[in-house]
Amino acid sequence: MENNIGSILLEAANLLLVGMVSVFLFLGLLIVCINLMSKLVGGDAPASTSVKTPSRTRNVQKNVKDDKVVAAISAAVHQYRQDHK
Amino acid sequence: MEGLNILWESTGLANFQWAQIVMMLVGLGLLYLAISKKFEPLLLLPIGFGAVLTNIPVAGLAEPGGLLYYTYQIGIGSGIFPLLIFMGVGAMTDFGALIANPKMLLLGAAAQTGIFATLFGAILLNFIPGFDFTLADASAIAIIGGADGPTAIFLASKLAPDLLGAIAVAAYSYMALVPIIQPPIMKALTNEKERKIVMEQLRPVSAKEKMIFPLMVLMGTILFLPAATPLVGMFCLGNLMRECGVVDRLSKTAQNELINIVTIFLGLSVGSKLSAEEFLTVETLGILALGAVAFAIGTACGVLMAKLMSKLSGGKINPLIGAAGVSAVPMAARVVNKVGLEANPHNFLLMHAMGPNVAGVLGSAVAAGILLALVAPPL
Repeated sequence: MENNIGSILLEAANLLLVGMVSVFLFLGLLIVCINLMSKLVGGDAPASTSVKTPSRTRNVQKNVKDDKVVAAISAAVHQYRQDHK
Repeated sequence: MEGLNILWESTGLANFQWAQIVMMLVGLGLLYLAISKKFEPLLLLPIGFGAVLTNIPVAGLAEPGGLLYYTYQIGIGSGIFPLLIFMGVGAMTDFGALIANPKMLLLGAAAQTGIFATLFGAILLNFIPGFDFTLADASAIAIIGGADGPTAIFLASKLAPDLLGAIAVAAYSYMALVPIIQPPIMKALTNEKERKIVMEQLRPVSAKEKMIFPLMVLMGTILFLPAATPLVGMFCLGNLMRECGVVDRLSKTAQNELINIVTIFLGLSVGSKLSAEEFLTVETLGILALGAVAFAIGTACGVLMAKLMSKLSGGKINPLIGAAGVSAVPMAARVVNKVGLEANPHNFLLMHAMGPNVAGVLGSAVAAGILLALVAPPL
């Protein structure tokens, strides 16, 4: 019986070693893959800031338009309030 | 008079065995923990009630022909319920923190030491008379250290179905006890200065990266560890549904309705394994003890690994986040945050701890796959 436990113990120690090594290897490989992917695709994040520069002019135009719309709405509200006093 | 006698023979009172009463008390104890103490109530409540139902004399709910017998066979015997839960967990998990800082995967790997060290410990217990764990039993017990309920149930249903009740109860109890078990270990292994380390803010992660990630994990598993593909595959399916943005309805179902329905039946089926002859053994005590050891070793190894990484990075990593490497999402990350706040009230570690936390989920699924590949199931 003692001998039997000894052999299972050896097997368990073996599993401990093999298991930990393979967990580390697998997740380590995943780290490499994530880093690679981030290099290939993740360029998006900094790129999005550089995209902003050309779009700023469009935003300015949009702001002008927004101002006109706001002015029109406030005029209408004002008119409405005047009429319903 | 004879009629009365027959009626008496069919009552619960006449048929109770003391072991059944004890198991009903265990079930009521679980209900108490779930309702009054709020210990993982979503699972402990159905498990506790299942334990009560199973031990009703005469009714035979857990015997062939009974409701619980079938839910167990269909859901757990086949391994389907834990996998469906895993899909839901995948749909709930945001890998952003991990993709932003992939090194955190090392912490998720380190915390799995608890699993393999406990495997060794379970075999050592065989020296004590009354214990007779095979390698398959020991593996199923050890996975409790992964602090991941569905993974533990999945592995136990494959490797040691007769220990499933005790393993599931131990796994979920220790997940509920994370806030009590972890902080003393975390504090013992770190000093005040290390706990105060403030970490850099994580970079934003693009939607495209989040979408590719589950597919990449799946590819890796297919190539190197096919035994883990049931768990990892369902997990990645849920995660892809979440991140791709075109099947919001499916993603919502996976993380709400479906996971809730499955949880009810999973709990009841696990409860049905809490029958007197299978639970009232010395081995159950051993499993409960080993589970706690597994958990403690996992936490300690995670913290030690984080400490090493902190040293190597020149003090940019707070070693506390290593404790989140055991999965138990998101409880472990919250505990890290809380201990960090105690040392420095302006230091919020939650997002940083989510990285190792989700890495822990992957890590324990991978560890389960390795055990499945290396340990032969009982014949």
